[in-house]
Amino acid sequence: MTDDNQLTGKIDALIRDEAFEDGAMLLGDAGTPEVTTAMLESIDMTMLPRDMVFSVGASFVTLAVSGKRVRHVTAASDDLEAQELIGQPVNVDDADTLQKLASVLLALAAMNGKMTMARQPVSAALDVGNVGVGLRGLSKALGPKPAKVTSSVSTLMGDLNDVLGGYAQINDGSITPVKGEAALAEAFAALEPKWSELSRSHDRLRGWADKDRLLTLDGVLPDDALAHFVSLKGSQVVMATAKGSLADVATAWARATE
Amino acid sequence: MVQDALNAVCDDIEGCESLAFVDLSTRMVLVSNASTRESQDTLNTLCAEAALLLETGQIAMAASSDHVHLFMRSPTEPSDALCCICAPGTNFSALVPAAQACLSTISGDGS
Repeated sequence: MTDDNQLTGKIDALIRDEAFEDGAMLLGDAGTPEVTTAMLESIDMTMLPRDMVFSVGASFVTLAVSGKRVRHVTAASDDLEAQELIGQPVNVDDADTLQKLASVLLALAAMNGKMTMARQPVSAALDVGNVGVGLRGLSKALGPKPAKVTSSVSTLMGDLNDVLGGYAQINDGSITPVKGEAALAEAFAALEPKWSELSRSHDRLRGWADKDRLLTLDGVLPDDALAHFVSLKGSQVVMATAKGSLADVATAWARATE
Repeated sequence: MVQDALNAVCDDIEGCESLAFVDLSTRMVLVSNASTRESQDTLNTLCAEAALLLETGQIAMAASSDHVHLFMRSPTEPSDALCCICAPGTNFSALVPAAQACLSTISGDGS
């Protein structure tokens, strides 16, 4: 890949300011089912090892997450009664610990105020052997709400599976190839010289207040592929699709943002 | 005649709200569909967006959760382009080929 940091900065520019508060992403109003879904989605979008800090006012819980799985609780405010969980491995076979974790998350999600999420480098190396619980296990432990736990990015990628040449998620300054690493390396090399000026110009021209955004370009990738820059529900993705896929991408985008 | 072709696409495809034929070299909106609700300023901005995003290729798209903007450049007349504002629920599988055919007709390379 070419200069990952430079490209990441440019993609980050696609994020609208109002999605963030003091560097943390705004997930929504605590006390609503949607905010619990947003917590699960943000965990499901975290591949690299990160301490994820979920906060409502002064209350917070910090989860050690990698590979889309919660590995353990790193820290929590006293009001959440999570002290006995800190440092304890979490996995689906340990129903008691998992249920306590779910209780902590639900308690935080039920508070009054805005919930924010910040990702930070992990404070300690994670033990990932047989440890961790993912979207399915967490959703089950949290109860019937929220019913929908498929992230918008997952929906978009799933809908485009047949035409997708490759894509990468961009989180916290890191590019994580998810599919088609070779195609993406080629894409980044081709796009790098052209992206900077174009993205700045489009920002000045259009300046949509909406935080969800898709830009599709033709003629910048080899093999007549289309290049797409996506900012969706706080997640950023770069992807390449087959030339004739514009209608598919537009349809999938509408579904992912409905 | 050009406006008739634009009107036909918008009439046939629900969600296709505005369709404009533009000259990329002068960045001018030449004709738009009769029922467009967009102001001239909005169409001019759309034309500027088309000129920017079509610098590299024949087709481009810029979408938010509210609207999808499609841009197509004529393969034979590089200054000719169509700009389209669509609702998210538009049948894009029908719109894309219809708009391409419309542009071919307008640019005189369709037969």
